[in-house]
Amino acid sequence: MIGNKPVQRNPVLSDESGQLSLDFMVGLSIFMIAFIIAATMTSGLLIGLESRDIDYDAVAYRTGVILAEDPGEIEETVGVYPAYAYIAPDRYAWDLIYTIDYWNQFHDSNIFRMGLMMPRYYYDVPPRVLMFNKIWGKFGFFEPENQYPLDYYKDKIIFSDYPYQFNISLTMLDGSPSPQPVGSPIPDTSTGYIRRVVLVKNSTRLIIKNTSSENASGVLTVTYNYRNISEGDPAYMIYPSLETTIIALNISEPDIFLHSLQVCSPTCEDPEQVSPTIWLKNYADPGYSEITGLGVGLPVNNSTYLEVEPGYFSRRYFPNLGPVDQLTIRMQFLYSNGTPPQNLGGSHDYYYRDLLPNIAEFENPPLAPAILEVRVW
Amino acid sequence: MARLMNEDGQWIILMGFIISIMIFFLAIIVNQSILVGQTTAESVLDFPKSDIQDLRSEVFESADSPEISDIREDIKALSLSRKYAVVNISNTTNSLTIDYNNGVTSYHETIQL
Amino acid sequence: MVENDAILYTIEGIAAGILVITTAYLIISTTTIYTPGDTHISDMQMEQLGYDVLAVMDIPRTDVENSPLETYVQADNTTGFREDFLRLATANAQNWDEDIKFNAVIYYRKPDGTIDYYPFSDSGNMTGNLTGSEHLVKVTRRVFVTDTTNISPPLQVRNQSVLLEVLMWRD
Repeated sequence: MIGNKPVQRNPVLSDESGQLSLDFMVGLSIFMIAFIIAATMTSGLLIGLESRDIDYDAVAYRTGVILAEDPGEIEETVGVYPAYAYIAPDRYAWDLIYTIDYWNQFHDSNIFRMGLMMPRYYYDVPPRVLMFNKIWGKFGFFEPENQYPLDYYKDKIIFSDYPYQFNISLTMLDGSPSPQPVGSPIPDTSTGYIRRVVLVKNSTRLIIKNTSSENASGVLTVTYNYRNISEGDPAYMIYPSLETTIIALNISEPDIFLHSLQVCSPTCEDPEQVSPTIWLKNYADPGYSEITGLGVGLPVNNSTYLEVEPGYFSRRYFPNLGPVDQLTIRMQFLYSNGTPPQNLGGSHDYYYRDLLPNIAEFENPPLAPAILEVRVW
Repeated sequence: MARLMNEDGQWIILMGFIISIMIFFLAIIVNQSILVGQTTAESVLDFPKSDIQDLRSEVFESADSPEISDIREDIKALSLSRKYAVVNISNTTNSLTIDYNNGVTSYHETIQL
Repeated sequence: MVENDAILYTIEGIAAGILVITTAYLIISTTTIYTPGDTHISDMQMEQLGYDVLAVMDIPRTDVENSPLETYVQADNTTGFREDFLRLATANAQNWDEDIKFNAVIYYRKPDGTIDYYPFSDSGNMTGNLTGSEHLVKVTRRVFVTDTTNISPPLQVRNQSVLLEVLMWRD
């Protein structure tokens, strides 16, 4: 039987039986409002999206742009004016830190970004042209000795707190060897991916064809005239301080030795005894390489060449390079008995055009197309 | 139960409960609307990086030509009708100015020659 | 005075309801908003690739010659352009077979100021194979033309800038 108490139906206010007490209503309302405000303030807390999956392609794209369209950046001096020291030739040359000591001490804090592009010294430098030394050099990006641990790349090209794994590969399309990819092996799962098409600028070479010169007494000079060199088109220019320059000596006379080699700017000095410096190498014997400043007579023949390492013709070794217009490499050749060869020698310019086609030839290799692929997961 | 529950007023309770759930759901929607917007891929597609690089390269390549005013008219007309961008190239004796605006991005460059 | 009958049931019901819904949401997270837009990623990759290929084709390989793209346009060499474009666009480290098709058209300015175009090149076999369902991307490159002797009449005989438009899609 239903309750004996007669229930009074009020058209406006229904029976209070079964309604919540006022205290509870107030308490619940306050709680709900507070909960909604808290949920709105903690934005993203209740989101069910796994945002990292969508990020992979964006991170890969950004890394692709940094590698293909950015020359990179380094703080090239340490210390305070006036007692500061250069650790690299300039602010784009993160691959040319002068010594292994400087690298060990400063690379982590001074390198901001590692980009492979040519440096933007001129307004008409085309993007997507990469420097050979930044790819293959001693501290190059794809250096197989792996100077750089994998975590290092994350700070310098990936820029993310989340521990992404990556794989970056460069594939040359003109037949020349491609470097080993950098990073972890590509997984079977889907990865963020971007493909960039780029060109690679290789080093230049001067081939001296005729070393006969009247009354030269065995003195051969090669001059780098910076004013003339800077008149070239930026994408094909010689960058003596940033690139390897090669001088091929075709000494066909037998029994000739390189007695001394000096670099004059214009005061002459012997080349450094440690890298970077000027090496004497031989095409016929790829394993042969001697630093030219050793002070002993080095044998030369018609397949000998000089290789000036990148970073050597720069401020640290030639501090007056600013106001100075040119650097000259001065070589003295002698016979094995110490007398100078009378008609061997000459002076040449390291310059774009063959000024005297039968005497010396300048080789500026064409830009080589390549594919740069970045995978992030 | 000796006495059945009184069901009066349960309707108001239920409505109140439903309204609070709806408010909760709307709070979720407002919360997620912060993430809704342009995806990264769309913003990359919208930004005319390659177009500006192309324009600069074309201006520098044609800078020595005798028909420079005709060439600039070509670039302006083609950019306007096909790339939907307003371009202006001008030079004084010692500076070159490039202006570009496609409605979303504007670019201005002055080069000292 | 409020009747306290059935208050406990009401409170219990409300609390249980909130608990169940919150728990279910936090665990299953099904009340999310669908944010579409992932389809743009492949478009972005394709567009960046197309712009890269055209830009690399437009950089001269040495400083004494025209760029390959200028050479193709000035000689009206449609097969050379096709081979070079497809080679650069489909080369990859894994040597996967990528099938990219394109249609290239050149826009130019006529003496009266209007814009007209002529078809330049395509990836071959265009008729009858288009399904209309592929994602399409348009990439462009401004080409500086100096020698118009080999191009059919539309272009004026002067140095000029034309716009090469390439529509590309993945098959």
